[in-house]
Amino acid sequence: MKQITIVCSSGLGTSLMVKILLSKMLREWGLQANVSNTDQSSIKSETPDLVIGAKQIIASIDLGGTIECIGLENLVDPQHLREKLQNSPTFLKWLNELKEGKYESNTTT
Amino acid sequence: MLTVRQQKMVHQLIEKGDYIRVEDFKEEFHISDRTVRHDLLLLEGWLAPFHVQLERNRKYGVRIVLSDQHNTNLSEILQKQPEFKDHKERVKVIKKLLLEDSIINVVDLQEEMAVSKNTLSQDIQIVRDWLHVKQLDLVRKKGLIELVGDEHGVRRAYLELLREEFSEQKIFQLLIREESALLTPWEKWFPLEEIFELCDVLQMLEKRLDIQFSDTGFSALTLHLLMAVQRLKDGHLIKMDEQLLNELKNLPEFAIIKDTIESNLFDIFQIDTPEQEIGYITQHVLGAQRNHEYVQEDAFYIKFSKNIVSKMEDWLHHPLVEREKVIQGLAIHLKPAFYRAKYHLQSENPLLNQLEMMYGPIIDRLEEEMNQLVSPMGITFDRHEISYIALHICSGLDQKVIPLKKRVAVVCSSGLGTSALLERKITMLYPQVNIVRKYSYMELNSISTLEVDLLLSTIEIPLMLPVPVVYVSPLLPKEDQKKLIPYIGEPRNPLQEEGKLVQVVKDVLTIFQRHSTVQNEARIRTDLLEYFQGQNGKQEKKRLTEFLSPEAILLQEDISDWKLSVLKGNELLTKMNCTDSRFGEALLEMAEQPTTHFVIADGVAFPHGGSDRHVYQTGFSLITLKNEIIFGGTKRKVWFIITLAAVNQHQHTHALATLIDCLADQEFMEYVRRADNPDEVWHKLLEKEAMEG
Repeated sequence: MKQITIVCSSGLGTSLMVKILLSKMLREWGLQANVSNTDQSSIKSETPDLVIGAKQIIASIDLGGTIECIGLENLVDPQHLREKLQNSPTFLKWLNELKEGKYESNTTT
Repeated sequence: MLTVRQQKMVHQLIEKGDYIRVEDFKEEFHISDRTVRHDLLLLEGWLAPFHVQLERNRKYGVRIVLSDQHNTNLSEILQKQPEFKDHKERVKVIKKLLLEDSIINVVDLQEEMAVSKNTLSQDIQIVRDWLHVKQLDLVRKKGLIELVGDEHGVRRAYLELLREEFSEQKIFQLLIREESALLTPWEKWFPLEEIFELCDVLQMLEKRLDIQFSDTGFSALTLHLLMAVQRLKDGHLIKMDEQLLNELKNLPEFAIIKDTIESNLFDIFQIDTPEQEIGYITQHVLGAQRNHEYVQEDAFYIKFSKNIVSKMEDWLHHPLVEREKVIQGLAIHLKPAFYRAKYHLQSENPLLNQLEMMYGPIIDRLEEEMNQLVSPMGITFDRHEISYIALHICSGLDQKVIPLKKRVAVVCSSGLGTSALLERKITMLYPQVNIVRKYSYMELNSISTLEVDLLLSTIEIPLMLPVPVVYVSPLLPKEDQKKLIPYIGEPRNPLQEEGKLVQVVKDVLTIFQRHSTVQNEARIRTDLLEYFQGQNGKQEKKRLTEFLSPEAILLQEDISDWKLSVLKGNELLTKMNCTDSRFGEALLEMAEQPTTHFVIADGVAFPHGGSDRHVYQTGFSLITLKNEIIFGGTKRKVWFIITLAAVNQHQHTHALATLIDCLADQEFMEYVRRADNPDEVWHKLLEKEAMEG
């Protein structure tokens, strides 16, 4: 299962908001992924495929550069999130895989 | 109203037009000095409204002086008396006359009652049936009716008649000289002074015998003495079985009772009390229930009581709770109970039916065991007495108290809004309460105690309902919470309860750690806390309006400093018992950090945090500002400040989804920008939730 982690300073406010928005969108697109929200101190112990968060947070975390991190300016605007995702290489790759029937929802690659 | 005797006295005084001596009245009516004086006092009061004076003279007695005008007035009124008695009243009077005098003249009776012969016959028949049950008979001969039966039966019947008229409670009230009791028509039976005199005698007797009767015992004895005095005054012959009397005479109590009663009754009523009557009084004294604290232990009854308790325990297969106390109480009860059984003084237990229903099998068993033990002594306990004894045994049954949740219903006339708010308030403050349902005004007719223990309403209900109603404000302020205490108790103190739970969680965690390696301590701690709070996941569905009450909404505030707005937001949460003031400071600290992003959209700040010591339950507060202000170091302007304190990461998910919807809804946001009524905003939110379904 693809792992998307949403990060914020506390792990219970904004990240949860984004999680709610994102889960809705994933359903629209038919993408299956595990979405979790967490605070910035716990993020280092996780190995997500994609990280989303407010841009200040994204700027402050360092995950070694291998994982794509999306920074948001507006955390409650669905349109903003949609645009950001549609510009994300990782996300576009998933959408392509889905189109070609190669999207593997049950294994972590 | 005057009694027949008092009416006769008035008649005589009017007819004679001169003094009549107190002695004459005494002789004529067989009453004491005291009673005459009492009657005269009453007459004086009765005459006053007619401006008629009762003149007293030490030597000659009393007289009434009347003008002609007075005379006709009074005569008219007296002719109207006696007032017609209803059927019940008549039967009672006939019973009383018969039991006191044994023989009555039917013609006199008919005249006194002012009823037809036929009606009187019917009344007499009812009396006959009543007497029959008590093994007494009524014989009619030559215009007379006579009561036939043994002494014991007559006494029983008389006492029963008294009990019908004077309930135990009435006597209690009388004994403490309660105003309302003094107004009841004792006079028809006994002058109040006589009753008080007899009470004094009884108290003297208590002192001399060194016992203290229970209230019930005392009132039973009072009635008994009243009966004795009444019958002795009427010159009744008191009969008692010779052998029984001799047996009683040998008891130490007999002499004391004889000494006390004889002299006092003579002083007060000028009557001689025969030994037989002393015998009966002795029986009643022995059979009277005593006050527990003042009873000396009696080895025989303690032993008997122990025996019974053991037998019952064997049968129940478990020991009684507070066994020693049960034995003690039972022993005290048993002593007079034995006498009651012996002298056939057992009386009805008004609770018998109820007890049979609740403890039928225990009473059955007890009856068997008890009577097996006492039958060699020649006595039997009847079902009424056994049921009293069963009470003692039952007091030792282990009764686990199951804290039943109180069922509360709410009256909801609109279908939305106020009742929802009230409901939320109640569930938050009173975990001991279940909101069972909402009633519309129209449905209230069907409300029943089977479903609901308490009804809360914000509107007046002019109906008589079987369920208590408490009127409250939907915000349930402190005054209203006080009103609810008698019904559902104190509201919970979240701070205190949380503290207890945290300790429990800590202890449980320590046990885990002793036997296993705990990998994610913080997570277990949170989950356990939620579990003990009864919020095991199921509360994720909680709505925004449940977390954000109208009391936590402040609109059109005039605040220019963003820090103040954050502190204000927390102040509202603290008011709702969600946080303490330190949480506000924590929010400010967070806001100062560069990574924090409290401004989540244009115009919207969302200070939030949780899971720390300063958050006690999840809650939101909302402030809107009259003028936009710069929030923190972000340089972004806000006017909408929604603050969240969360106890965990998922309980408020549903509420956040609603919030997101609201923030994305331009129309709604424009509305809130202008709104100045918190209740209205709250209702709007409720409507939005309703649309989500």
